Amino acid sequence: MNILQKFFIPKYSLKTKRKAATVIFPILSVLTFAAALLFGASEISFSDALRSLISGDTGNTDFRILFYIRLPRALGAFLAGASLAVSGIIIQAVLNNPMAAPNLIGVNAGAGFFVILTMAIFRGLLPYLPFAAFLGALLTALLIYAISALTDAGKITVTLVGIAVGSILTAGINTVKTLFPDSVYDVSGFLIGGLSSVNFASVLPAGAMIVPALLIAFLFSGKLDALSLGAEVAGGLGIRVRNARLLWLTLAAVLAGAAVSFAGLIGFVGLIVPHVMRKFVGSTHRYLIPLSVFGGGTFLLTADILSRILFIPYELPVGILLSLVGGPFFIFLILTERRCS
Amino acid sequence: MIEIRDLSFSYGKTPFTEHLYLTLNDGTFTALIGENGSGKSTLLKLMTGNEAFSSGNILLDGKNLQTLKKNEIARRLSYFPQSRPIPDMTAKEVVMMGRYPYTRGKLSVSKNDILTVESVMTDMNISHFAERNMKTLSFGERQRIYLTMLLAQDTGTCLFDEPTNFMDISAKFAMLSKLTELKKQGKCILCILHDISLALRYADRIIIMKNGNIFADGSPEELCQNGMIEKAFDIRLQTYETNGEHTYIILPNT
Repeated sequence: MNILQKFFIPKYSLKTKRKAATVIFPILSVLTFAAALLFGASEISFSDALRSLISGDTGNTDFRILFYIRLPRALGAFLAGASLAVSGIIIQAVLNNPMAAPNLIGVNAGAGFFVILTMAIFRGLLPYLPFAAFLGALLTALLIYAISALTDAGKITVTLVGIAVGSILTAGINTVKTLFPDSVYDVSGFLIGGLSSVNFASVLPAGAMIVPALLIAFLFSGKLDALSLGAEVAGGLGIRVRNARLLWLTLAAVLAGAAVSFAGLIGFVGLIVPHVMRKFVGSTHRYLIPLSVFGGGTFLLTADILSRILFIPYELPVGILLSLVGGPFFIFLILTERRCS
Repeated sequence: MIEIRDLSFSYGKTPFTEHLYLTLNDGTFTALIGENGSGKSTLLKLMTGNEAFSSGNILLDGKNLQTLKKNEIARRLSYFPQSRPIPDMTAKEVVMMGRYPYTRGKLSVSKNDILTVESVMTDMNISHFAERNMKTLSFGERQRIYLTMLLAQDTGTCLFDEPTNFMDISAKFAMLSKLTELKKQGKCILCILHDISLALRYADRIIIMKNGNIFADGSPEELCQNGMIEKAFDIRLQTYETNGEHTYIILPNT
């Protein structure tokens, strides 16, 4: 990360960088959100769409594309980006492991497994899809936490165990798909992760989980600082470490599960965004969490716009783009982490 | 002040510490020494209230540790662990975490907390590190900042688990004279040390542990004269007296 720091981020004091970030990232979010509404495979007239909104002419094609396709998709991209980023921050602080992220340690796959299971077998529960995803995410997070706490394994080992758990769960997803071929429409799309099928019906219930969870994460962010100092120090400062870790992992699972429920197994957002944001605003969570909401939202919105327009008329699922960026980033992180320890 | 009454602790079903009594008064510097696995760190952890014990009582400032709220404990007792992950924070942010038992993670920090942090940082002469990230500091510098964080926590009882490990000799002396200073301010200091000569030089009381229990307890002079240190570590001590001050040299027992 030092290379990044040396060349890309000038040596301003943390205070200055924080102030700048507080202005820049919300503005970037608004701009990318607007861009996500403007750009797309089909040319639409923004003013026509707005005019038809005012006149109440909901049959207008431009209006329908803008409000029923692009708006929920942009909203979904922002929410998924924000929630996966904050989920990553929490998991990294709780496990004291900068190499952990919801997709790497299998939390996303756990959510995905429960989503596919619900689609295939418990179709009556479809309205509760985000909740099922949350349960899957939570169980996986607790499993990884238990392994990390009981064995006292190193950071890279825990991450490797998470990756193995993730591939077992992905195999589970594929098994369900094979056994119930008709019930699950597009498993490969779901495994890669993408936002092309997002609509209000899928994004709103997830959003109802994400927004309060982000708020809670921000309000209690000071406790996460203490937890990130390690179990012994946190305990010495008066924190009930085990309880606090379980509560925070539950929150991380809510965030990751909700995102997976409509966006599939989008990877690497929870790894890349926290690391990059820390370079701007430091690790104090009362700055890191709210600014990563904007940073994560902007990041996924930008990636989604690119995935839509890079190969017009084809659309690259955004998960592929993220893996192309995230894979090398992860390797880079492993190598620098090894050097440090 | 800490009072341990009839404390027993076991690993699973194997009893380790049995019927231990120990009182540590305010304004004293006690060194806890003993071979690896003799139960020094375990005893310290039991005193923090974060580890459960089988029977007995620990009183912190006369109050039962098990019924005190976690936060109450953290305002009365601070703990310096043997190792910890290096936080990705600036030195000042780390010192600020020492105020956690008072701020409890509130989003806004009070003027009083900021003043406390600034004064302990000046006191420890680390103000020039304030904006440096902990990962860019040396091991010795980090230990100094952790000690500053502990000063910001401002507790009457302070427990240290080998704070001088891996430090340069001058830094070791500096840290232990700081602990002596804290003792003179009236704090109750308990410090695990590996280096017997440091314990003999700085502590006013030494407790030697063996197999989970107290093997010997006394002032450095007493323990040297009654041969308990030599017995506990299987070594030979030579005492020199210069200008009325004792200097000890530790030799192998051959």
